[in-house]
Formats: sequence, C-alpha cells, structure tokens
Amino acid sequence: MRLAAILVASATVLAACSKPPADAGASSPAPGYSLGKGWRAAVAADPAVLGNQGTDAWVRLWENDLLGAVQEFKLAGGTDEASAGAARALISVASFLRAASRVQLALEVEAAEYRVAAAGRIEPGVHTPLVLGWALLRTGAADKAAAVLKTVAPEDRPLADKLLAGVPVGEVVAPAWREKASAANGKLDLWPLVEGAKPLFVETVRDGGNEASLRHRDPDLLAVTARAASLEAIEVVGKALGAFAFLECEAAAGASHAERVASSCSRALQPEPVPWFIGRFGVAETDDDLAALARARRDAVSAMSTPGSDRQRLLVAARDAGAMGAFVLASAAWTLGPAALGDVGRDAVIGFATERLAEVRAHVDQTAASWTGPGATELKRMQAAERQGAAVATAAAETLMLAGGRLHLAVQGLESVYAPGRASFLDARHSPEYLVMLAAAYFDANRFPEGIGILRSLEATYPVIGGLREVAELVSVQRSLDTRGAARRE
Amino acid sequence: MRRVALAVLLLGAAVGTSPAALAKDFVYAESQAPAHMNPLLATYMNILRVDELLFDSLVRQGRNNKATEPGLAESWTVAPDQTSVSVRLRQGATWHDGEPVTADDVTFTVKAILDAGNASPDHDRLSVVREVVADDARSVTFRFTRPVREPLEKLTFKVVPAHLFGGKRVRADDPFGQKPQGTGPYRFVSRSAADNTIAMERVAGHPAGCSIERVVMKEVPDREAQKSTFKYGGIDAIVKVHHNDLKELSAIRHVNIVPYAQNSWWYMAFNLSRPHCRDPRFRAAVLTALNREKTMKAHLGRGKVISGPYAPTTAYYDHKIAPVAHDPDRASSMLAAAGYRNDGGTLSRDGRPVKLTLAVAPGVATFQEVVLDLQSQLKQVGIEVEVKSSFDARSWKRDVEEKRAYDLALGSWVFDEQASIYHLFHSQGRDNFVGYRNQVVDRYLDESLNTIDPVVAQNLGWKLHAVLAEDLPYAFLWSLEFSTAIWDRVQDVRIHPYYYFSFVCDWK
Repeated sequence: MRLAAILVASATVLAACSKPPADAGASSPAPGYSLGKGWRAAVAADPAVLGNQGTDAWVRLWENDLLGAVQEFKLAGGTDEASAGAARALISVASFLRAASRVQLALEVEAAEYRVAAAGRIEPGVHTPLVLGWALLRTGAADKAAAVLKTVAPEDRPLADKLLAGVPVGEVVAPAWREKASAANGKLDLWPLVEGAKPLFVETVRDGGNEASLRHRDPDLLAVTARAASLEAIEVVGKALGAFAFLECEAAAGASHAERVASSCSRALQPEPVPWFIGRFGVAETDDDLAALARARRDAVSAMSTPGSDRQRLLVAARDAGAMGAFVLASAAWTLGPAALGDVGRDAVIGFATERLAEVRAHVDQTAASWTGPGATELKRMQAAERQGAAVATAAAETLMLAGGRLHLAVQGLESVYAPGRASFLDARHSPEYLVMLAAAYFDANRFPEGIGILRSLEATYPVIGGLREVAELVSVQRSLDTRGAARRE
Repeated sequence: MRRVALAVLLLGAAVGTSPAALAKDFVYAESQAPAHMNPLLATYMNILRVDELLFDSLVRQGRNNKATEPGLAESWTVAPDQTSVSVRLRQGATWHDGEPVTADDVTFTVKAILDAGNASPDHDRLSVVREVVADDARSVTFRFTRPVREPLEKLTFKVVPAHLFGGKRVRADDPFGQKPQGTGPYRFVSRSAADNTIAMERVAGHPAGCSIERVVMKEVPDREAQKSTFKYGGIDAIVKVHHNDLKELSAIRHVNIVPYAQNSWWYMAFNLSRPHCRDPRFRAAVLTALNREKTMKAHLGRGKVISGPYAPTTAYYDHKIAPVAHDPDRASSMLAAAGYRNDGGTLSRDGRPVKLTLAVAPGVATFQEVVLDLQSQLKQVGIEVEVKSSFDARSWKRDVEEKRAYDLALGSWVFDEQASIYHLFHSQGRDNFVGYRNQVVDRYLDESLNTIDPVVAQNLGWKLHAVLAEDLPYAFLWSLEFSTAIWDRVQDVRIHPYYYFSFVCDWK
C-alpha cells in the first residue's frame, strides 16, 4: 500500500517534471523560479527525489537556465542587480548539483559564482565545511580539503576524520547498514529498515551527494534503502506539488471557459484539478456550475483542513448532495489527501465513481447495440462512444484510486472498459501521471509485473520513472524472497 | 423448424448477441485436459486451474493477491518471532465424500509434499518447514527452520485427504488423481473420455458461497476450434487468448476481455547430451538463425522477445542484455566456423547431414504455425528438423524429460511471483531435462535460494541471465501478453494471474 501511495503521489511529480511550465516566470534569471516554485522548493528539500536518471534530465534543464542567466548577466552589462540575480541562480544550481552528487559540476559552478559575486563567502547551510571538504577531496585538492575539514562542527568531526583518512563515504555508513540487516535476523522488511535508516541516508545526502544511490547495483542494503528513502521524499514532494497545482488552477477557475482552457493552469500544470475533474466527469454544464463547484470545493477544503470545524457534518452534506457533492469531495482529496475524506466521504466518492463506471459500460454497450453493421458512420459513433467511455472511466478510476483503499476496484473497472482491441491501457491518450497511478493500483493489488511493465514503458520518455521502477522491482523481489516458487508447464 | 432455430442462432452470433443462456453452468476451455487432478503433483497449469476449484488451501488468496483470507483454516496464530504458525481448522469442514477434515490430513499433505520422491512443485515453498504437528483433531502447528517473513504464504498449498491414500506414497497414476475428493467450493462429478470434459458442481454450504452452480472444463485442442466454439456459445470462456485473436473476439458484443500478466516465457531447449546441441557454437548459430520477433508477431501477437530466462516484467530480467538479432548469413558463418558445411541447402558435419528432432510440448502444440515457422527458419541455414508434436503430459515426461529422446524441445514455462529457475538450470534441478551443468550457475542458484536481501537477489538474477544468455542451454524465445475472453453473462470476473480461479466465488 505504501509503495502504491508513493507512486500515486509521484504521478504529480512526473507531470511537473516532464512538463515544466514554459511561461511562468520566464523573464526571471533565477532558474528555480522559471521552473516553478513548487519544484524549486521540492528539489531543494531533497534532490535525491529525482534518482540518478532524473538528475541527469534535471541537470540538463538547470544548465539551460544557467546559460540563460549568464547571458542575461552579460547583456545587462554586469549591473549590480543582474549580478545579484545571476549569483542567486548560480548558488541554487551549485547547491542542487552538490546534493545530486554532481560534485565536479558543482565546483565549476561555484567558481563561476565566485567570479560573479566576487566574494569567496560560504553560505551557511548551503556550503557546509563537510560538503566542501569532501568535494575538494573528490577533486584531488587534498590540502584545501584538510584545511576546510578542520573547521567542521563537532558532531561532524568523526565523519570528517574518516574522510581525511581516505574512507569513502559509502563505506563510512555501509557497516551500520549491514549491522541493521544482520540484526534483522531474517525478518528483513524494507519499510521498517527505511524508517530506521532514513537519518543515515539524510546524513549521506547532506554529506555531499547520495553516494549510496550511485552504488545501487552493488549487493548492499544501503543502496536499497537510499533509493526507498528518496521515494519517501517523492511522496512529500508530490503532495506539495499537488497543493501547488491546485492553488494555481483555482485562480484560473473564475475565468471563462475559453480563458480557462488557455490558462497556464491547463497548459502547464498537470493535473488541473477543477477543470480537469469537471471536464472528465461532465458534472458542470455551465460556467455558473463551474464557479459554484469551485467555491464549494474551496469551502470544503477549508472546512476539512480547519481544526475544530464540523467536518463530519460537511462530509455527510456532501455525500447527500449526490454527484456534485461527491465531486467536491473527490477534488478536495487532491489537496488534502484521501485520509481527509473519512469513511463517509470515501464511500461517497467511491459510490460516485463506481456509478460513473457502470454508466460508461452501459453507454458503450448501448452504442454498440446500435451498430448494425460495417459503415463509416456507425464505426465513428462506436469509436466516439469508446473514447468518451474511456475518458470517463479514466476519471472514475483515478477518483477511486485517490479515495484510497479501492485500487482493485479501479483496476477492475478500467480493465472492463479498456479491453485490448478496443483501447489499450498504454494508449497515447492517457497522461503519464494517470499511467503511474494505474501502476500504483497494480502494485497495491500485488500485480507487480503489470505495474512494472507500465513504468518501464514510460521510462524511455520520462527518465525520472526509472527510479520508481527500480524501487518497485526491489519491493517485488523483497516480497517474494521468503517464499520459494515453482515453475509449471503450460 | 430446426433450420429456423439454427439460422436464428447463427444470426445472433453474427451480430454479437449473447448465446443461449446456459443457466448456472460455466464452461471453460483448455487446449488439453489435465492428465490428473492431484494437487500434490500439479506440474501443469491446467491441473493448477482445476485444483483451484476442487481443493482448499489453509489460507486463501485475498483481493490483493496475497494469502490473507481464511480457507480450510478458520484462524491462525503466528509466533512473535515468526518461526512457527498454528492454525485451527474450520469447524465442521468435511471432504466431498463426507469424511471430516482432520489435522492428520494436513500433516499427511505436508509430509507428502516434502517427500523428495514425490517431486511436488510445492516442495521448495515448504522446504523451510522443520516440523508439522497435529496438536489436536483440528489444530496444527508448523515450525520453521528460521523466521519466515510471510508465514501465511506457506499455507497456500492444497490439502488432500489422508484417508484416500491409505498411508501409501502419492503417485501420479493414483486413482485419486482421476476422481479427486477435495474440500473446495466445487466437487468433482465426472470425467468424460468421450468429449474430454470434467464436470464439477457447487458444494452446498461451502463458506466461499459461489454463485455459479456448475463448472465444466472442456478440452478443445485446436485454437481456431476454441474461438468458434466460444463464438457460438459452446464455451463461456477461453482461458488464454493471445493478442492476435483479441480483435476478433473483442468485436463481439457481450464478450468481455480480461487481461492478465502471466509470468511466463517460451523456449526452444537444447538436449546437451546430443552431438550438435552440446556445441555452444551450434546453439548460438541456431539462435541467430531464428527470427523470433517476426514469428511472435505473426502468430502470437503482443509480447517481447527475450534474451534470458525471465519474463521482462520481473525484476530479475536484465534489460541491458539485448536479444540476439536475427541474421541468417551470420548464422551460416557461425556454423561454418564450427566445422559445418552447407551443400545445396543441407548442413552436414564430418560428412553426416544435420537432422534434428523437435519435440513440441503439449501446451504449445496448438500453435502449429509457430512450429512450422521455426522449422522453416532452421531449414534456411540447412538444419533439417523433424517435428514431433503428439505428446501428452505423460509421454512428454517419459520421452522428453526422462528418456531425453529429442534434440530440440519447444515449450513454455509459467512461474509464480518468485520466478524461480532453480530446477530448470541447477545441475541437481528436477526440471533440468536438458542436462545443463555449470558450477557458477549452481552457485548463483544456491545463493539465490538463501538470500534475504532483495538487491542481492536481483543481482543474482541478472548474473544468471548473463551466464545463461551466453551458455544458451535454451534458445530463449519470447514472453507474451494474455487475456481471457468471457461472455458477459458472467459478471464481476476477476482472475488471479497464476491460480486463475482464486476469486471464482465472486463471479456472478
């Protein structure tokens, strides 16, 4: 369930990662801003969120922005303002690169930063002596490293001494991990281990790069847990981004339909909760409906997230309001998480989505029944019905997934609509974030081959998926290790 | 009148209406009827499927495909250190012949599975059981050799009645296998040799409470015949529909297609005791001569050509190892370098023409076009292949696996989620019918049995993939996508990707 939850959350990450908003803040030289506030905060919080492949893609994006920033600096003739902007950008880049274990690049960027800002200062919390010392060691500047490492805080002293003695970072922490595995005495469970090991992992990252994740193919528990821990970060980031996207879209929801479609929300941020839900479910016919729904949703979110509010009353009222109420709850779940729905809210949403699935099936069947033979018109009608059915089924299934605890129902519903030969699960019409959620649903149902297959199919286009797929694979292995299997003949 | 009725039936089928209702019957097709129904010796998938209806396990599969639901055991207690589990059998549980189920049945079953002489497929699963003890008539305790992370998964074997074996060793040809008595939601009624059917009926009062009253397994060996019979309502479901057939079947109104990912792959095995096949250069040339992509797409549909002994959707498959590309010219050069001569399209070595026998396993024999295609591709590089495809489970075991009277063997392996290839390639493996011996592979396989570290396990899988892709005891062919086709009069169909009928009692 946990992996599924993480993947559901990461679907949002994927959307934002694969489609950085092109227009938001494009005039700013600061790369963090141009790539979205949510992402800047998320990645700054824990770059390991991206994994190795994601980091490669991410670095490329940063480099592009960095070039833009430097260019602007040059064009501005080196004014103080431009210099400050470029320096800020470079600091961000350097800090990201360091944390993402691109130490060499980070040092190069730092050099540029020093040139731009004309100051050799060390930013507290960004350039810790431990990080800088280790980075200098990595680049062979032993004397400089020794000087810097002498200045570390007392709590970092043991690690600094080991680094000075030439012990690789991975080997410094790996024995502790092995000890944990040994103590597990055959009761190895990935998630408790992750919980227990997280501080060490965080330490490793803070220490200048997730050395551990770079060694992910070594038979070393450190690698598994490091990557699993990074997935936890994804969950956090996903939630943050979900909320961020919601706020952006909400602002656009008061505009007319045409403006809404053209808004940065619907173009750049996925998913676009309000128009997205409404569009797919068809619960709002007019702009007034839309505005009313947006207000209701905002009120629901506010009431559900306010301590002391009469949450239960609100949930019951929403449930009793039928489809509209269920929609409000479903959309609120995007912001607050499925747990906020409680049993009443969850049942309402599930009932709503299940009902829509049944409607879809009936609709497709009804259209098929009117198809009396080969002919372009009939065929088009059939295809249109299937497309419409597929869209609604997708939305319903996503809602079921979001409502939590009904993932198998979502998969079942989808499979009944997306019969191979009619439409494929991996059809290009489906958004990558939806497919990641579908993979999560499969994982939740312990159908790992299907889930892994979906992630692998996405990986070529969205490298960040590689990290998710790797963890999913390891979890699948871990779950079956204790139960020796059998091969049978077909 | 009869002609009119037939016309109506055909018209109904043509426009895709439901066939005439079959009341509460459910008929499904297998390309070959199970040789027996003894779950202790269920080495074929068709046996596994029918046994899921006839027998109970102590703990059943839950909706998340993990062992979580009470089966023959109504309750259980796992020791805090997870080195033992005690189960309490269901009050009033009886065998289909009316005898009460006792703890002795459970201990008998476990001992039979652990008896190496029985070669039960569940042997490895239970090998961690140190002791199984009947505490009283309804209570059994399992003690393990070490802590077990998911002890309930150990309790998913099918329990058999001790009283019908009389303390004797379990044998494949035991009469029990032809007239099984289980505790499952369906009881065995009859087996007809005339039309190759097995009839089962719902057990009244079984706690699973199935809706469907009767289930019939019908052997329909030919794939086209399966489709036709299905379309005209003779059967309600085809267990395994390959992708190329989906378009035709899914175009029929009221037919649902239910996809499921089976962990399986096809192979062409080399008998490593035979002169040509024991030469690794020859094996590599054969693989290079095969156009697997074309064959798969033309005759089977969607899937993936594989380079090693795992399905690509498992964590053990190393995607960095690309499948060998089809290149008949290169295959000819490889054969020449290995001392073969091609005279007018006939390959020979030391003056003797190369003629090989290709044994086709019963489960894939229905794909004659695949066999002919592969035969033709080998002929292109001068290798004559004589096809033998009339095996049933018994003759395959006798002639191919025991006597090893073949050069090449075409077949398909299906795995549970562990995807264990231990018995296929370990020198001591019971399914190592090719005679493969490699100490490095043995070591990797031994290590993989004992590790509890997922990264180590995955790395070992990748290493095994690499060595076996190099050694080629098999030419690894492809892994396919499957679906079940089922008329929509049966609703709420959910399929377990391995056991298939685990959720049959939810079907309506």
